[in-house]
Order: sequence, then C-alpha cells, then structure tokens
Amino acid sequence: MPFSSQIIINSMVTGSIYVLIAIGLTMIYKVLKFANFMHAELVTFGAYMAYIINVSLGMDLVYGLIIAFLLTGILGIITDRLVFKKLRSKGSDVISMMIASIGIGLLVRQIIQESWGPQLRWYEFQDTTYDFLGGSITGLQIFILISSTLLIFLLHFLFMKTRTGKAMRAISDNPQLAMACGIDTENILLWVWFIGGGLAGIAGVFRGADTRLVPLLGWEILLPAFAVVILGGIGSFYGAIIAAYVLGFSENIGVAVLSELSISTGYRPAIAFIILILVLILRPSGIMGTKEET
Amino acid sequence: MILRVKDIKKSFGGLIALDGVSLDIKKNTIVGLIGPNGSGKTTLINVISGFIQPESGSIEFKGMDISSMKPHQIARLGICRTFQLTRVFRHMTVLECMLLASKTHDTGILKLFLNPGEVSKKQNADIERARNILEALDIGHLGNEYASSLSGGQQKLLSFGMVQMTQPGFVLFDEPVAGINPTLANKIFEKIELEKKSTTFLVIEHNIDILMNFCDEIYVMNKGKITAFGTPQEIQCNKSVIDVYLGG
Repeated sequence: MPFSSQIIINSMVTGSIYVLIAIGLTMIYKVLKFANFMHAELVTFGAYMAYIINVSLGMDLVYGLIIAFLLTGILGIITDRLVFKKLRSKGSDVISMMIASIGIGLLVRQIIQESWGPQLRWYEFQDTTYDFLGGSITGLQIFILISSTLLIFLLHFLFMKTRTGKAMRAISDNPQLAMACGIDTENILLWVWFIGGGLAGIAGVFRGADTRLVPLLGWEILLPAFAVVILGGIGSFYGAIIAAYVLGFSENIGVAVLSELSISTGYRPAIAFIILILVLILRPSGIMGTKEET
Repeated sequence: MILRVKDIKKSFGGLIALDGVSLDIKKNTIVGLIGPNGSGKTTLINVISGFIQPESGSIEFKGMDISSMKPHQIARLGICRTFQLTRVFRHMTVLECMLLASKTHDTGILKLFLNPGEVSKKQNADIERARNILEALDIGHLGNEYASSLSGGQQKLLSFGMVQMTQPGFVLFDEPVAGINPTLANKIFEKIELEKKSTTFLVIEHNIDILMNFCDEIYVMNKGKITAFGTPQEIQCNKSVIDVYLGG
C-alpha cells in the first residue's frame, strides 16, 4: 500500500525536517554562493545543545529547542566571523569557502564525538500516539508539522515584508547594487547565518527526537538536504520547500515499495541519490530554478 | 563645494589607474567626466562611492572625509551611484526595486510588530512616490513585472527611477544613456536637469552632444590624470582635448 495514510504522515514529517535544513543551505548559498558542508554539523550541534538542556539539565525539550535555535545560530555567526569573513576579505573563491566549510564541519563533529561519544542517545520526553485516518501520529510529529509550517510562513513574511528579508534577497541578487542602495551587507550576512544556522539547529532537535542522537546525525541527512536544494532549483526558497516534501514522499514510498519487493530498506538513502542524479540529468535547473541560477 | 577630491592615487598591480586626480564639484550642477576608454573614469567613480579604496588622497563630501568609508555608509550620506552595465534586482518586481532604494522604506522586523500603523503609512507614501516616478518615466504599467523581464532601455529607466527614489544629494552616473535611443537619452537628461535644483550630478558619458547641451562643467581624463577642465564651450575649443578625445 504505497499511499497509506501512515506513509503520508511519515513523508510530511521527513519533508518538514528536510525543509528546515534546505532553507538554511539555500539562504547561505544564495548570498555567499558556496555549498556549505558545515550545515550538517550545525544540525548535529543543535541536537546536542538541546540534549544538554533536556537530559543533562533535566529541563523540558521545548526549552532545549529554543536554546538549540539560538546557540546554533550564534555558532553560524561565529564561524562566519572567524573564517568565512576573512576568506571573503581576501577574495577567496567558492571552492576555498566550500573546503573551509568541510574542515570546520569535521572539527565540530569531532568535538561532539569527543564530548558525547559515538553511542546512541535519546531525549527524555513523554510522547502520545494518536490514531489518524487509519494510521498513527505522535504528539511530537504533530508538533514538527505545525512548527515547520509556521516557520515557513514566518520566513515568507521575513523575505517579502521586512527590510532585512528584502535586503537578503537584494544581496543574493546583486551585492554591489545592494551596497549602492545603502544596505550593510556584512550586517545582513549575520542575519543569514543566524537564521540559517538556527533553523538547522531546530531540524537537528526534530530529527534527534524523531529518531535518535548520534554524532553523524547531520551528516546522514546532508545528502538528502543537498538533493532537496538541487531538486528545488539551487537558490530557490520556494523550490526547496516543494522539493523537501517531494523527497520526503519519494523516500517513504520508496521504502514501502522496497518492503513489498522484499528488498532491504537499507537502500533508503539511495533514493535521494537516484533523485539527485535524475534531476541533474533531466532538469538541472530543478523545479523552480532558472538557468541563470544553476 | 559639495564634493572635493584631492590627489587620489590608485594602481592595480603595475597599472596606474588614477594618478593624482583632483576635482572640485559645486552644488546643484551637472558635471561631465569624459575621456578615452581606460582613462580611469569608472575607477574614479568606484573610489568616490567607496567600492575601491584609494592608496592616497582624500575625498570630502559636504566637508566630511569619506575616503575610508564603506559603500553602504557613503550611500546613506546621500551619494548615489549607477553602474556602467545597468544593474537592477532581477528577481524582484519593479516596485520592489524602487522601494528597496528608498531610504524612508524602513520595514524593520521590530518596527513592523511594535508600530505597524506607522510602517504601513510610510510604506503607502513610498509606494505612491514610486508609482509617480515610474509614471513619469513611462514605465508605470510595469510596476508588478519582474525587473529581469524588462528590456534594456526599460531597465535603464528603472535604474534612473531607483536613483530618484533614494532622494540623493549627489549622483554618480556611469554612462546613464549608453545604448539608449537619442530621444529617450535626451528625455533622461531633461529629467536630470530638472533634478538639478536639489541634486548634484557627476556624469560619465560618451555622447558629446548631450554633455555639451546639459553640463555646466566638464572634466577630461586621460591615462589616470585630469587633463582639462572647463565649461562645455571651453572644452570644445581645447586643442589637447580635441587631439585626445574629440578626434579633431
């Protein structure tokens, strides 16, 4: 039953987590023009920050979520100021930026692994399961779906209605003209890192709560996140939103099909790879990207 | 003087782009800047607008030293610039481009929540001003179109509209009518002349007829230096200028 209500629920939850990661990746790509591999570790960092609040300090996971958003956003800003800003001022190309992001990512992951070890960990929270259209949905999953949707609308409001959001779009469109219009690009970049990083932190907490915590948490979903960004059309905010849910459904339907065919569901990660390759061959500009953006 | 440029030097590797350039520009005038390709005109505009830092020399705007300021800081002082190749925000609508250029269009996140009434009032006033400017430029009907869908000439007009929207005290125009038909070019300069009451213009332009008709003074550059200065009539009679630029 590829289209059972359970698959729809699982797909929406998966898509909601991918969308939060992909939006941050897209934001950073749009203004700085490089693929930020460190984004995976921002996801993991957020998940472990919430672990400190929730398990080590014994507080509610909601507080962990808020702290994870703030601290991951701040980590994004710190890495920009310490590394990427310096590279920008030296006129480094996007390849140098990308390699630097891989390096910082490795550093963050190793610090997390040294601090908490490689073993699996879980948050401590009460969850309730509800029947929903013949399937089941947990309280956590409802929370993930609602809060992701709210965040998408908030971001839409930010980009379309606020001067900060419009300035982000302006910088990604034409940074020199933006400066000539009086926009302080470095100040706007701080917001991009804070919001993009913060969303990755939230995604990390959601993923950790929905599955488990492990130092490779972010790395495991970096590939699907990149697949979402490419499928949506590199740099397209709305394309990434659609693509996140498309990939969420593809993965979950794919897993159901694999089960029906008695093939191991361990091939699940391959679905993102297959979609990535197909998109690159058939429509490299993605769902909403233009040729100019690819 | 509204703008004083003193002894600016700038080189790129072994190439000397600006070799001790000095300008004095009076308020509410249109000043032309001419010279052969590669003479340093665009570099000078880049230096004045903060996009390139000079190696030595100073730039004073209304008596304030701006030579080490960043582009956005200079823009906020009221110095607006355009680019040789027309630049607009291609993924924004024409109206959005205009609003972003407005200094009064402050829809900060906090203000939106704390004082939505004031923000909405200002925004409506800005939208009306933007529409009036677009109407005057004959592109009023394109307000909701994406800037990328406009023709080259329409993008030039939008770029000019964005300049007007900033209500600048000083405008640096880098070939504002290059590639535009003569009728439209004259129309743009007629508008620039009207704006002269409140704004000062430094204009790089290769169209000599337009410069002679609309400029109050002209500077001539060659090989990174100012080689002549005067009224259009004086420049037209200057033998060295004729040799270097006007081609006899």
